[in-house]
Amino acid sequence: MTALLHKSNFCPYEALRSFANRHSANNSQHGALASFCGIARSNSESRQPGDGSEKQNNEPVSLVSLHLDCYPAMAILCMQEIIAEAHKRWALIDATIQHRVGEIPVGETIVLVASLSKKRNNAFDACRYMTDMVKVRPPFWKCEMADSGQKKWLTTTEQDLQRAADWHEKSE
Amino acid sequence: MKILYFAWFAEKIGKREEEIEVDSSVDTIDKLIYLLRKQGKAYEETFAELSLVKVAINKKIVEHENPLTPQDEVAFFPPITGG
Repeated sequence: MTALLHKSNFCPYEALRSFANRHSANNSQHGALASFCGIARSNSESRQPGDGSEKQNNEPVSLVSLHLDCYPAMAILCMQEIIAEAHKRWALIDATIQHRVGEIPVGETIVLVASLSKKRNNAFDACRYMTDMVKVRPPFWKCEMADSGQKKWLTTTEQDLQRAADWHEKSE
Repeated sequence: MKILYFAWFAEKIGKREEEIEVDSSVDTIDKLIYLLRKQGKAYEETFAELSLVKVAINKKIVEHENPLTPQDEVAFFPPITGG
């Protein structure tokens, strides 16, 4: 299992190839590789500011980049914990979460989540679980950088919190 | 005690980390926040709305009532946005 933080642009296809190749000597067991790749979008999200400031005009604005602040040591521990939970819930051969931090220009990769297993359902579900958890748990803080020069710290969306909570309900 | 700040907390305070001397009476997060608020306007503003103040001790998220020791690494930050 691998939890990684990337401080500069990384190619998700190369990362995925390297993840899959780690097991190539033993590939008779592999029936499924599922992955999710998140990419920085150019349109802003309609969220209220996360810094406690007054409600702003929430019209979507054009972005140049996303700044992702991070508590690195805690983020790695948290991502390892999420991978370990996925291993407990599904029969996985391996899993990885790789996250970009710092300044992320529009169009570049934010996150790669991948899971390897014998069966596709395990790979799909584990990948979805890890992605939903990464959206709310690791200590990351997103700040949108608009092309007008404005910046806006974001809050978590209710939708993301609900998706993460749904997994806990399923396990009860 | 080593204190870390993240996101707009770090911007407002103007630093990402600092070492401060605390005596043994500062034995909970609540008391540490009370002490930090007296360090100036930037601290006062950052710690004004306690519902926005999240804290981790030695990389574990804890409540404001949590005990602490001078050897702890304490991190203050706004609610986590996630990835």
